[in-house]
Order: sequence, then structure tokens, then C-alpha cells
Amino acid sequence: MNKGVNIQQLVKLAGAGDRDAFGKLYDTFLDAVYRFVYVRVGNRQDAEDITEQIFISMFTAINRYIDNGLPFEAWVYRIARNKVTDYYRARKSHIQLDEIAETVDTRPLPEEQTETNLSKEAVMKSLTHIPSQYQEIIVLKFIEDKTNEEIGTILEKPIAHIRVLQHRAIQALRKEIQHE
Amino acid sequence: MNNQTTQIEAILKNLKNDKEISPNAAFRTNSRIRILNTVINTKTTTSIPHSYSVPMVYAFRFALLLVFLFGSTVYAAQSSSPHDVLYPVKTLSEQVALTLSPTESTKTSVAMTIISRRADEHTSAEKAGDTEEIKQTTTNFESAVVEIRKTKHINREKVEIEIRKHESPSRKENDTKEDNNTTLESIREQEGQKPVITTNPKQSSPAPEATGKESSDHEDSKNAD
Repeated sequence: MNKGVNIQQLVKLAGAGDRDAFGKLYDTFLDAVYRFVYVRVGNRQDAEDITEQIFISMFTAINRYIDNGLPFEAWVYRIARNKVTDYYRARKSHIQLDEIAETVDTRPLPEEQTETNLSKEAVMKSLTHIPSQYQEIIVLKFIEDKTNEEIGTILEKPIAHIRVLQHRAIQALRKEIQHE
Repeated sequence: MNNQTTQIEAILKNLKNDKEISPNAAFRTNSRIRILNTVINTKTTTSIPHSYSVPMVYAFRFALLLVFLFGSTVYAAQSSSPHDVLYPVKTLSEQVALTLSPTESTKTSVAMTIISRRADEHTSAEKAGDTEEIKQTTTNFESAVVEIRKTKHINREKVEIEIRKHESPSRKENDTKEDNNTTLESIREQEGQKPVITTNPKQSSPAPEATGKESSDHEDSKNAD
């Protein structure tokens, strides 16, 4: 996201119905929101639909955003997370991957696997198969380059937990790549 | 293992610039137009439900109006005089009725009733010959007039006619009765108005006409100086 843009000023103008401000907010957050959604859903069509819904929700509810310590960016990500959750809830075919990852994992440990050559495609494919909270951590930490503090604010988790989740997420991704 | 982790992290970091994970140009443009149109239209139409809420507000106000008008204490207070304990309840209920009246005609009717009541109180005080009460009722009448003139959404023409109807006889009577001149002067002095000058008949005679308008009353007094 373009840090140079005065987000608070744009939010204020958008709240007053300024079309240009909406446009600038869209331009500022589109890529990050789209990437976040794409990693979660794994296909372009759904990612586009959900991204659009996120921006409509965000703009129609922009007057409800109050700068009480929660950065606007974190607020946007929370809307995005909720929309993706709604998407999976609506599909009803979403498997609770988080539970599976914690309970049923009979695949060989990464240490038992031989190291393979990694490709971008393999990483992308595996990324869509790991639990949702690991997907979120990976996209925010490695793709969006957020700090642990920022991730903690977005995901509403303590920083120490973010570090643990980050480690687990990479391990889960490795495991998934080797399994593919 | 560490080597693999490093590789994964490197690939992930490069994904930010990968086209596959970024929105394409067509979506970027078309979605922008769709979203902005939807949002602007939604923002415009969100004010429409207000028209549905207006009757609700009126209904609520009218219900409150009924509660205030028919509450037993309020009801008992309606016949109270300025020196009674319940008199403030009476004036409060009138103010509430005036504020909560849903339509212009109801508001005008309530305003006229208030004027009429204050005038009746003044007449009763004059009949009783109680100087203190005359003073009090005059103040009450003029305060009520000021308040009602400040009220929005009332038929001003009707209200002004009602005010003149009750104001003129009282003033005329006061101005013509020499015995009452001292009382009237003292009342006007206490209200911050200049007393009617009785030494100059030319100046004192226009006073009854001038009493029809509060502001012109002041003007005439100033001109008298």
C-alpha cells in the first residue's frame, strides 16, 4: 500500500461522500486486498468477486470507522477476513482446515522428506491448501511485508503468538509442498 | 531444511510482484467504476428511508404529547393560577405540547391556547386587584409571547392576531386608567422598558397602538427620548 497517501484525510473525505477520495482509497488498497483474498480462495474469479464486495462494504460503512487506535488498514483487512469467511460459509464445502492441521496429520514429517527443488507454482498451489490462519500470516508477513505488531493488530492476536504462528505457517507450507 | 525454508520465504517475497497474484488491468478499471457507482448510489439512496422515519417520529411525538396532556398531575395543573404550586407543571406541559405538536396547525392551536390562557390569568388578576399578581401575569404573558414568536413552524399570522386580541385591551385599559399608571410604569421599568411618558400627551397617546408590536413599542419609547 502506498504509505505516502494520507489515509486519514482520504477516509474523512470519503465519509463525506467524496468520489475522488473513494477512488484513491480503492487504488491504495486494491492490490493488497486482492492478494490477501487470492491466497485465501486460490482462484481469480472468486478473488475478484470477493475483492469487489470488500470495497463496497468498506465504502458503505466508512462512516462507522473511528480512528480509536485501530489503523484503517487493519480495519480493511478485518472486513476482508470476514468476507472470505462468509464466502466459505456460503459454499458450505469449506473444510475446517485449521482443525485438520491440528488433529489429523499422518503425513511424513518434513525432516523425513528429501529436499526438492521449489517452484513458484508449487508454493502457490500449496499455499491454498494450508489452514486459513497460516495463509493469513504468510500473506501479511512475507507478501505484504507487515511487522509482527501490524499483523497482531489485524489478526487480533498477541505478537508472541504471531511469531509462533509464523513459524508454524512456514512449516505447514513446507510440509504441503513436499506432500504435493 | 533451513535451505528449503529460505527458498520458500524468498519465493513468497517475490509473489508480491507476481502477475498471477495481482488484479489484472481489466478488473482494476471495471471494478473501480462498478464500486464507485454502487457506493455513490447507495450513499444517495440511504437518505430515502428518512421519509419512512418521519411518520414514526411524528407518531412518537404525538404519543408523548398525549402522555403529557393526559397525565393526571398535568391534568390537575391545567386549572392552576400563577401563585399555585402546580402552575410550573402547567407551563411546562404547555411548552412540551408546543414542542411536540406534529403539524403546523396543531402547533398554532397550542400557541393560541397558551396566549389565551396567559391573557385570562392577567384578566383574573386585574379583577382581583392583586398588584403582585398583575405584575406576575403581565410578565408571564409577555414571556409567553416572546417564546411563541421564537417557535418555528407555526402560522404567525393567526398567532399575531391572537396576541393583539389579548394584548390591546389590557394595554388600552392600563393606559387610560390614570390610577394604574404607576403600576404599569413600575412593571415596564422592571421589564427593562422605558415607562410611558405621561407628561407629554402626544407621546403617551400612540402607546396603545404601539403595544401591538413589541419591537415598535421599544422604538416609540426611544423616539420619545
